Amino acid sequence: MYAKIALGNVRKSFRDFSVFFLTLAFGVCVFYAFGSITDQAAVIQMGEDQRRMVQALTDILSGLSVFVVIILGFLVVYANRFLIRRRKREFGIYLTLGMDIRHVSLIVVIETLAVGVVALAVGLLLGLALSQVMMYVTAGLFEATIKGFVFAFSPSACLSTVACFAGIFLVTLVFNVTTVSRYRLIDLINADKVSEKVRLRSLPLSVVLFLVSLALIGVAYKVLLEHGMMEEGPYFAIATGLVTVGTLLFFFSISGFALRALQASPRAYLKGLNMFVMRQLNSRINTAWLSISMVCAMLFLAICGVCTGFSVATGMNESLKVGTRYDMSLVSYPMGMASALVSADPEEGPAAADGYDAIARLRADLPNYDELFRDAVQVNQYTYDAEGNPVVDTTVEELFANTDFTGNATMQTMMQGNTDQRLVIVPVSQYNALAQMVGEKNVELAADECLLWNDMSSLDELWEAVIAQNPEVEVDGQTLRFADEPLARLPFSDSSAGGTVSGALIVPDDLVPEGVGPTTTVVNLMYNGERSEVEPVAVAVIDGAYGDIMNQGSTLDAWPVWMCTTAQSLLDQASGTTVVVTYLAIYIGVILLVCCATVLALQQLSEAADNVGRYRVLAELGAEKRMVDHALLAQVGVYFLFPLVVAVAHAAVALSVVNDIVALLTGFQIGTALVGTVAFVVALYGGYFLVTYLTSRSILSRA
Amino acid sequence: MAPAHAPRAPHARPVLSCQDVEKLYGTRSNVTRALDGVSFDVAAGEYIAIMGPSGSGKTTLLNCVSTIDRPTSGHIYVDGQDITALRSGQLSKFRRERLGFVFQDSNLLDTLTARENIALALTINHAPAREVPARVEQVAARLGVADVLDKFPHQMSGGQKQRVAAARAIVTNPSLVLADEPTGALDSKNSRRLLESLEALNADGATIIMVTHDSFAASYARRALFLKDGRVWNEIVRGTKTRKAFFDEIMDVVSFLGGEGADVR
Repeated sequence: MYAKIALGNVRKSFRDFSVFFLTLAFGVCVFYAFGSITDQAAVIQMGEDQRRMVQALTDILSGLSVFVVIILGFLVVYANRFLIRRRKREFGIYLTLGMDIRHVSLIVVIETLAVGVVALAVGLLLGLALSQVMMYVTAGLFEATIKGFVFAFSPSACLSTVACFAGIFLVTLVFNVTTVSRYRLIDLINADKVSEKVRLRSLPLSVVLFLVSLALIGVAYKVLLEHGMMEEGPYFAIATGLVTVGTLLFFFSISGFALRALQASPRAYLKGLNMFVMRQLNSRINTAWLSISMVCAMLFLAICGVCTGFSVATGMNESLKVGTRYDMSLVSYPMGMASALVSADPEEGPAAADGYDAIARLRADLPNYDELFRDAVQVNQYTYDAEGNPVVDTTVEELFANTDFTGNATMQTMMQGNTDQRLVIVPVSQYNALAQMVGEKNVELAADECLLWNDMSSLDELWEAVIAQNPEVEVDGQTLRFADEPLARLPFSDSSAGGTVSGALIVPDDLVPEGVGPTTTVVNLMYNGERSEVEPVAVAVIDGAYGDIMNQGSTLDAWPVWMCTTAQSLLDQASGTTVVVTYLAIYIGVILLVCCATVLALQQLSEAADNVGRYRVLAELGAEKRMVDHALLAQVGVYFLFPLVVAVAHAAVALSVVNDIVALLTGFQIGTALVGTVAFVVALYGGYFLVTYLTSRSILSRA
Repeated sequence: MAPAHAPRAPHARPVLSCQDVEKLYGTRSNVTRALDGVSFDVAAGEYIAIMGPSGSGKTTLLNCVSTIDRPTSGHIYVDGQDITALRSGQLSKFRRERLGFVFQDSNLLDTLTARENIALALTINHAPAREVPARVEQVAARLGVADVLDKFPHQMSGGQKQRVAAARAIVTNPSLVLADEPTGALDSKNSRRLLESLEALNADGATIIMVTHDSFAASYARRALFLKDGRVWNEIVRGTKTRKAFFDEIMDVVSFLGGEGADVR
C-alpha cells in the first residue's frame, strides 16, 4: 500500500520531482562519461606518448572524482530538501489520518528510491551517449583515427558510478528520514500559514558593512595586483583572506545597502513595484547570503579554471609553432656545468679535442648522417675568455637594476629574483647561418654594433626598455652599442616553452675569443624528407651513438649531445597535453557551473512557491501582469546576476595575475580564452536563468 | 435627517448595479447554482452588509463584483461600466482604480512596513511619487494607525493590521470598498474599533460593501441584504433606527433564515 501511495505521489507531482530527477541524471551522466575515458581511449588508435597522456588524465580525473562526488552529493541533498519542504502539509495529512511517522518515512524512502533508480538508469544511458561523442572528440583532438563504428562501454566506470550514487542516495535517505521523523504534526498542518519570520537587520549597519566590504575587496585587489602570486611573503594569503571576508560581507550587506540607497530617492522607491522587489530581496538575503557567497566562489573557480586551462592549452600550441621551426635540436655544454667552469681546464674534455665542432663529430659518428639531414647549423654561446674572465662584465641583474621598468607584479618578482647570470655572446655569422636555414633575412652589424637575442616574446618589452636605457655595453674591453633594431628573435633551439635564450649578445665575429670553448652550444638540424618518416630513424641513430652519455653523468663528457629535442615529439606531447587540460577544464568548469546554476534555480523555485501568497496580493491590488512579471524578473535576475558579476570581477583580477605567469611560460594572453569562456558561461548559466524565471512565473500564475 | 435610502432614487446612477447575476459550478449533469439571479443596486456613499448562512453565495457574489471570478450570466455595472465585458488586460486596471479590498486575514505583505503596504496601492496605481507620502500619512491618521506606520505586520496586533489593510483599501479613493469578513479574525474590542473606522470612512463618503455573517458587524451598515441559496431573500434598511434596534431587526431575520440564530429559538 505504501509503495502504491509513494509511486502515485511521484506520478502526480512529477513537476516537483523533476528538479531532483534532472539533477541526479545529470550527475550520473557526466560522472560516467568522464570516468570511462580510459576505456574510450582503448578503442582509439594512438601513439605511445598519447596513451601515456590518457593515463595521466585518468589518474587526475579519478583524484578529482572525490571532489566531484562531494559537490554532486551536496547538490542532490539540496534538491531533495527543496522537495521535502514543499510537501510538509501532505505529510501532515498522512499523520492526521493516523499513519505512523515510520510509515511516512517509508513512503519517502520508496519515492526517493523510485526516482533515484530511474534517474540512475536514464543518467547512465545519457552517459553512454555522451561518452560515445567524447570518444570521437578525443580522437579528433589526438588527430588519431577510429576504425569503423565502435561502441565503447566501460564496466568499471559504470560500476563506480552506480557505487558513488548509491552512496549519495544513502545519505539522501538518511537525511530524509531524519527530517521527516523530526516533524511535529502541528508544524506540518500549519506549514502553509506560518511564513518565514522576517529577521531584520539595521539598515545603517548594512550600509557601514557594505562600505567595509568594498574597502576589503579593493585592498585585496591592490595587494594581488602589486605583488602577484609568485612573490615571497604572505601577500597572496592576505589577498585571499581579505577577498573572502570582503565577499561574504558584500553579500551580507548588499541588499540592505541597496534598499537604503533606493529609499533615499523617493522618486525611484515609490515607483511601481520597486519597493516590493527591494523588500523581497532584503527579506531573503538573510538566509541566502551564505549560499550566494558559495555560489560566487564556485563560479569564480569555474571561470578561472576553464580560462586558465584553455589558455595554457592554446598558449602551448601557439608557442609550439614558434618552438618547432627546426626539425631537431641537439644541445650540449662543452665546458661542463656553469658551476664547475672556473676550475675546469678548457683544454680538457672530448669537445676540446674536436675543436668544439659538433657537426663534424656527428658526421663522424653517424654513418648515414648525410642521408638523414639536409642542413645543420651550430650556434655557440661564449661566456668566458681565454683567461677565464667573463667576456661581458655586466650581469643581467645589474642591467635590470639599472632599468626603470614598470611591468606587472610577476615580471617584477622575476627581475628581482634573477641570479647573477652573465650576458653571453654569439658570433653574428652563426646567427645568420641559422636565419638562412629557415629562410629568414640576415642581420648586418657594423664593427661597433651588437644585437640582443631574446626568443621569449613576453620579455620583449622588458628588453626594449633595458636597451633604451642602457644603449651601450662593454664586451671584452670594447664598447658596443645596440643596433637600430636591437632585438633578434629567432628561436635558439626547439622547445615547448616560450623560448630558450634571453640575454645573449650577437656580436661581430672578431670579438669572439680565440681558442676558447662555448659554454652552451646547439646544433639545429633539418631532416632530409618528411618529419614523420625521418624522425624515428634519426632518433634511433642518435640514441644508438650517444644513448649512454645523454642526460646522465657529467655534462663535460656529453659531447656532442646532452639533450635531444625533436619537433615531432614536442607536437605529439602537446596534443596530448591539450586534450588533458581541455578535458579537465571542461569537466570542472561544467560541473561547478551547473552546480551553481542548480542551487540558484532551486532557491528561486522554492521561493516562488513561498511567494504565491504575496503575488496574489499584488494581483488583488490590481498590479498588471506585465508589472508583476518585471518584478519577478528583477528578483530572479538579481540572484543570478550578482554572484556572477562579483565572480567575474574577482576572476578578472586573479586572471590578470595568472595571465602574467601564463604569458611568461607560453607567450599566450588569457584574454583570448576569456571571451570564449564568458560566452560559454553566459550560455549555460543564462539557460538556467531563463528556465528558472519561466518556471517561477508559471508557479505564480498557476496559483 | 434624510433617510439613508434617499440616494437610491431612480434618477441617481448607482455605483454598483447587479442585474440577474447567475453563477453555475460543476458539470452539465450536476450543476450547482451558487448565484441564482441576484439583482440589486448600491448608490454612491452607501454602506451595505451582505449576510447569509454558509453556502448562500455571499463570497461568490463578492468574487464576481471584485472581478476575481466571472458570472455565468447577467451583468454587473460599476460606475456604469459593464465589468463582465472587460477583457483580462482591463481587469487589473479596473481593480486598482475602482476597488479597494479588506480581507479577513488582512493580507498585508509581510516583507513591507505598514507605510509601504499602504503606499504600494498608490504606486501600483502609478500615483506621482511626491504625492505618495502625504496621502499615506493622511489616510493613516484617519484610521488611527499613524503610530505603527514603520512597523512590519508581524509587529502589529490583529486590529492594527486590519486597519492598515483598510487604509490600503481606501488610499486610492476607490468607487467601492469591498470587505470580506473584515472582523472575522478579530476580538470584540478590535472588531468594534475597525467597524467604527469603516463607519467613519462611510461618513466621509466612501461606498462600502461588507460581506459578513456577524450580525453585530452588519448592524454598523446602513442596509443589510440577505442571501439564501443564491438568491436575494430579504433586505432591511436601517434608516433612522438606532444601531441597537437595527441589530435586533437583523437578528430576527437571521433567526428566521434558519442560520446561526436558528438553535437559539
